[in-house]
Amino acid sequence: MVSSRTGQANRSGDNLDHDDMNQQQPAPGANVENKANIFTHESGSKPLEGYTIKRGIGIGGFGEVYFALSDGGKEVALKRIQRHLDIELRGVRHCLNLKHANLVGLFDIKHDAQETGWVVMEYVSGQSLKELLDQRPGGLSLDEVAAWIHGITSGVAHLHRHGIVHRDLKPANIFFDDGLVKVGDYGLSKFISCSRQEGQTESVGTFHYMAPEIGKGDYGKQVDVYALGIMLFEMVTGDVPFHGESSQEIIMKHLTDEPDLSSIHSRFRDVIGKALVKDPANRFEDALEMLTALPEPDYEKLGQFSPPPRNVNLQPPADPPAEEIVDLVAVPQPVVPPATTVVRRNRKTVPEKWENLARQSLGSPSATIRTTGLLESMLKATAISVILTLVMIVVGGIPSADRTITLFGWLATINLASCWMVLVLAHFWELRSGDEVIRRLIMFIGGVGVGTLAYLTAGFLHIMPADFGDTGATPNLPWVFYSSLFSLEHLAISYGALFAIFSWWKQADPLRVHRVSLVTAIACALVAWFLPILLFPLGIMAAATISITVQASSPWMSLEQRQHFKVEARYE
Amino acid sequence: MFSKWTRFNRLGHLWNWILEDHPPIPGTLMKNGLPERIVLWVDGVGGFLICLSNKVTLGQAVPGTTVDIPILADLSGKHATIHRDGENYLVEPHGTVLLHGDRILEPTLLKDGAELTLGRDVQMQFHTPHPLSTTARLNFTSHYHTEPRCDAILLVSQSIVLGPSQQNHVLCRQWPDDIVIFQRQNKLFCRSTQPVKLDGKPLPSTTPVQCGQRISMEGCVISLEEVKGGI
Repeated sequence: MVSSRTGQANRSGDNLDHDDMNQQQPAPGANVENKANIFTHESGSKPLEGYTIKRGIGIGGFGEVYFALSDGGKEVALKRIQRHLDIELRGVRHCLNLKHANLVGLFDIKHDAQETGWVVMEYVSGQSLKELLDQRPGGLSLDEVAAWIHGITSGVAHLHRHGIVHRDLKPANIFFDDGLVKVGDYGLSKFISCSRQEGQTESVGTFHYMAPEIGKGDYGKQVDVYALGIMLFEMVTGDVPFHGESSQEIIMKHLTDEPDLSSIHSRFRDVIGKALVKDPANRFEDALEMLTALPEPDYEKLGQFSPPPRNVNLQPPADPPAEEIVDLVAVPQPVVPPATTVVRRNRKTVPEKWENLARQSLGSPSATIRTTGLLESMLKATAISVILTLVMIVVGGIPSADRTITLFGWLATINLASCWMVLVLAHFWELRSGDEVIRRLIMFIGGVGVGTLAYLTAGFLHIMPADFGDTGATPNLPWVFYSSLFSLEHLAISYGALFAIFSWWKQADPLRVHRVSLVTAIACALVAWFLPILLFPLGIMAAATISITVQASSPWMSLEQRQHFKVEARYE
Repeated sequence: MFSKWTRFNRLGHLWNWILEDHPPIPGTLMKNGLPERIVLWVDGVGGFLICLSNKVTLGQAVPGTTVDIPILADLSGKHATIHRDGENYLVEPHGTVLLHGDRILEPTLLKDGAELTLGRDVQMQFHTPHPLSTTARLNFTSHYHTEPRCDAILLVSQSIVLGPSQQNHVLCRQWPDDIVIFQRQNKLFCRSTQPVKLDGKPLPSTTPVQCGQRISMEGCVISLEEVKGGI
């Protein structure tokens, strides 16, 4: 964006007075505060066709804002753009069609007979956060803070999602209306920074929210994150972290002083700490990331606030996600009890919204790429299962040393067949969460196939129970009805049961919680022991081998990607 | 359907009784030359509905309504009436009215800080902030608002004080000094220690202010607008 050093133009704009509109430069030292309420247009006038001005609301760096009624009776706020008309309007036009419950709505851009630009906006009747903080010098309650910061950050996150940086976040730009927090003044002039340093009549208040890198002209999303951090600090304590007599002093403190977080409640301390890091690269990347680190507001405790109409608060933000996200942003779990309830609630069978989004994205690559991915997994599975089968042989011990290679080949074949079967089925099922019963049935059939293969190859290789040191006795388990462990019915049914008892496809699901879970492998092993698929200890080892191979060879979605979908799900 | 108190009060104020039982349509000029309802638009502060009558009615804002304070909410056409008797205010319920959470069925005295609930959840707070004035202020504390919208309702007995001090009826933090708007001989006047202009010209304190005019002082502007008819 073009930077402006026209401090003079700014000053004359700021001090625009009804009585001496044509005067270029007001007397130096003019009391800006008193001039603040002198508006160009009076109540009842119609500078813009179709709208009757009722009263002036306020004057900012960008121009005057009025409360007006349209001829049809619609209440609107009209913003008169007094300077940098083209650039300002370009910014507004960019944001004109953004919609979010936590953003002050922009309706239209119009020009009056004098070619002055006007922005027609949603009228927000409630008080601003600045007014609220003025009334409550000790800060807000933690529940109120949670609701405010959640609303503000949600609104800013929506801007960030659309590639827009607010650049002028401060309590005077945040409003409360009809139970909702609204962020205003986005898309407008960000010329403030340069000219303000020269302007003597400007209040120093706006410097309190300026990130240290602004001095270098660096206006990334982290600038907003920093301002959010300062506002959060101010809401909790009632005061901004850095004070100073002059703008230079405040800027200096932003650059060098560390904020004192000792008095901040633990619920917000780490979020504030991370938002206020001096180096923008170490802050939250954007408001979306910051949002995931904020505690969920408890709207039931806050009569005045209504939950936003979107699903932001309908679902807990997290699956085991709660822990994952927290880990990711290096913020220790802020409150213990909610986190545990969240995790417990996750045991539900209905998939989280973010999962659906993530699954959709899994299906987006072309069929060729997906098939290549599958083949890659199968290749990896081959290598891993061969190694693990070798371990099985060594650890399990084969009595007849001369048949070791044959037995190894046989076990490796069955293990690999099992892994491939799971990988292929999971590959087709990963795109949606389907009916578990049907999937288990198909898995059972697949298991019967593996068992049959085991039986046939055993016959082909002349493998006898005796090769495993087996006396031929069947295990003493009540449900083992067959005569020999090497009979077709035993192998088919026990393998079928092994694959039907567990939802094996979940071990190959890219959205599984852990990349490789040993607990899952051990559980598979125990079931295999009870079935039993093979003689002890080969049976349990075979099951564990299959489980580990499947998990290690199948793709796994990174935490960053997951977080992306979780954040996205909040906005869907 | 008048309670004993109301009847007594009315006998005591015969002229008012005549006037009130034949209320003029809101917006038309009352006999005293002032419209019943005025909106005071204060730049940078807010809009304030001024009710000059000793009896104001509250009800749902529907087209053609005749209540003084039409509220955009699920209320009865005429939901409650607030009476002023000397220094006291009484609220007379017609629909469901709660005072501090308790349902009231009889006209009940309103004290400074009283919390009124009309219907299900229209919450208002009643204040008589200024120790020297019986003018009261009604604020909405839930999401509702009047139609046309204003930020508060002033039930004006004699005077309205606007300015920077906390006890004023309308708090204008940035003003250099208070402005008092008062009613005398059926006319509105305006006074301040600072020079006041009316429509840009210096205002002698003897000149009455009228609707459509603009009172300005250094750093502040007030406009008066007559509210016409219902919504």
